[in-house]
Amino acid sequence: MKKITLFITIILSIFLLGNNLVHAEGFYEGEYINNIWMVRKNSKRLIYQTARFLKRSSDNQFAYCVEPFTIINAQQGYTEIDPNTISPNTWERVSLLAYYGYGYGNHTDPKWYPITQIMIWKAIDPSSDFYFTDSLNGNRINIFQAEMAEIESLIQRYYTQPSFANQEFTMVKGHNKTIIDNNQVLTNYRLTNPSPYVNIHNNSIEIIANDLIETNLEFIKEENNYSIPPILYYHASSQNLMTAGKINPINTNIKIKVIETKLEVNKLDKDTNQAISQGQAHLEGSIFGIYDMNDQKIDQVIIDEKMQATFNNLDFGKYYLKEEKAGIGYLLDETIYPFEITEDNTAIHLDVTNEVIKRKIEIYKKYGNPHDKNMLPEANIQFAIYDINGELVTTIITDENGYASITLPYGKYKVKQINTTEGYQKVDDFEIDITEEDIEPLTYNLDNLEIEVPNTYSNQQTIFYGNYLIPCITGILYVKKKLYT
Amino acid sequence: MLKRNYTPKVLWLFCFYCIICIAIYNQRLPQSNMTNKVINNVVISHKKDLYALLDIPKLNSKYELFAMNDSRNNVDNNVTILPISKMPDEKHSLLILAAHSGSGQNAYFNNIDKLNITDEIIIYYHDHRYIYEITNKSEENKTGIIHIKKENDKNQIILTTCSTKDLSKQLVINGLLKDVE
Repeated sequence: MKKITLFITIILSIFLLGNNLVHAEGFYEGEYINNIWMVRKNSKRLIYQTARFLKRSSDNQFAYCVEPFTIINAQQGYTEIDPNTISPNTWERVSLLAYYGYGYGNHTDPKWYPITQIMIWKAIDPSSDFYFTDSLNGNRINIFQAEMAEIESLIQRYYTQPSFANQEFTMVKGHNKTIIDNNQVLTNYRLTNPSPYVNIHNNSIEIIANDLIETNLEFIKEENNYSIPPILYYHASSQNLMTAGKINPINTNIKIKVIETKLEVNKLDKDTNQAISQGQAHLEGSIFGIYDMNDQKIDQVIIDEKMQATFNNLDFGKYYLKEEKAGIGYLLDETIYPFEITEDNTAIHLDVTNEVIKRKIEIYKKYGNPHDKNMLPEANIQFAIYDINGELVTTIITDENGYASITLPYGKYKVKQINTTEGYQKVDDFEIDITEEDIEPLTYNLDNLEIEVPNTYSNQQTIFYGNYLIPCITGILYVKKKLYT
Repeated sequence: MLKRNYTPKVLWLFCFYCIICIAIYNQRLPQSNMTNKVINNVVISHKKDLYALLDIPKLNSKYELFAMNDSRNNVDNNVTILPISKMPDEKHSLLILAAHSGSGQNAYFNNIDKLNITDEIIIYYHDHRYIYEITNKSEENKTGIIHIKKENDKNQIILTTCSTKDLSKQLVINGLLKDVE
């Protein structure tokens, strides 16, 4: 029973294997290729011949000999066999020779057939000698060297991958990246999964980083001269043959990683080193330009009410930040702030400072007669300084020289004299408007002058009546009395 | 009868005397000494040797001013510039003008008590119009001294005279320069 089971298994195996591998085929020697003669030579045999096509009977497809020192002596009975009877490297080599040899591109001249055949023999049996002769069994000649070099070049190009193959690229969201293939073979490749964000232009890839992703882009190079792989044909009593066929595709990939970057600018008051504006000045509203190292302006940021500005997804590179407009009441910061965004440094924090506009206020308080050269200094006079909202900012008091001073930041202020020396009026409230930086102080000479004035009362009418009119009337009355009495 | 013949002559003498008295009282100068001057499109009628002119538009009054070293710069005859003054073209100028009030033709400042804050005072000086605005008006005891608060970095004008309401007071009007034309 066991023997019967084993027999059936063997028969079924043979049947199934036969369906897959055993496919009988016939070959014949076709037309001669005139004026091309070849020699196959090893230690035991010397075969010379006029170049001649071998063709498959079923479809006249040309075939190549892969057993150079075995004579073809059968036209039928060839079977397809697994190419693993030949070392993989050799099979790959002869497959590529067959692919890029006769029939590839413009290799349509019959000469390409013996050229390809000679190269296949050399690959199969490197220890033997294969060459062309100037006649049948004639002298060795080195012809078709350029054609052989071309085939070799095509094979080399087949193996050449794009220069960026298997590399990882990190991109910043929202930016495009163009990757150039320095090996100039990208035109032979296509994306396995086309994407609207990846475009191949000749020898470069343009990638649009719209989303935060981490993905592999797979490229494939396929040669489509044939629809089926090359086939190795075996015959027990005749030379083995092969037909040219489709070669294995080449795959390559790149890894794309899209990340975000962030530039954060923090604004500080230079005097206090705090993000708080002084006086009535405003740190906010300051505008900074972002420049590349070619001094080209990329964009700008505006400091907000939190004394911060953020710029997202600035591309990798070296830049500098420069203030273009200071906040109200602050001096323009001329400092250049360089920074570099890299894959390892994606978040940049810059502290930038502004110096508030400020000015020294000096008060000289004096009183007395200006004719006296030494007007008296008015000491211990207090002045209150209020801001534009009427809030008390500070008070200052004159010293023994009648002098008081204070440095005030940008803004409008009202100064009010609080006390005065007895018998003298206080100065009217006055305003101080600090709008510009100046090393010269704003000086206020607040003088209470004593001015001598002449008597400004006029009584000329009384004088007139007393000096002229009354004596006149008196005189008239006297004359009248004298004349009429 | 003889005495009656003398009556017209006496009356004529009396009239002549009165005319002389009135002329002295008025102290008027002859009109032939006047000329016109144009300062910033304003025609000013003044004496030929005009030094400066005080114009108070509200009172429709113009008064000629004389240099501080001019003998005519005295309070009994004219509006006078007090010696402490700094003329309007000087930095931080302080022009202090005093004149009589009361009775008589030299009581030039008799009506300045009618001026109020924001009224204008104009000085014509050296081909410019200096326009001041009144900022303060006060009275203080008449002691022969007035107290002035010198405004810092400002150009001031002070008009002062006796108070017409209270002879024991001195009226002080303070103005600040607003415009120069």
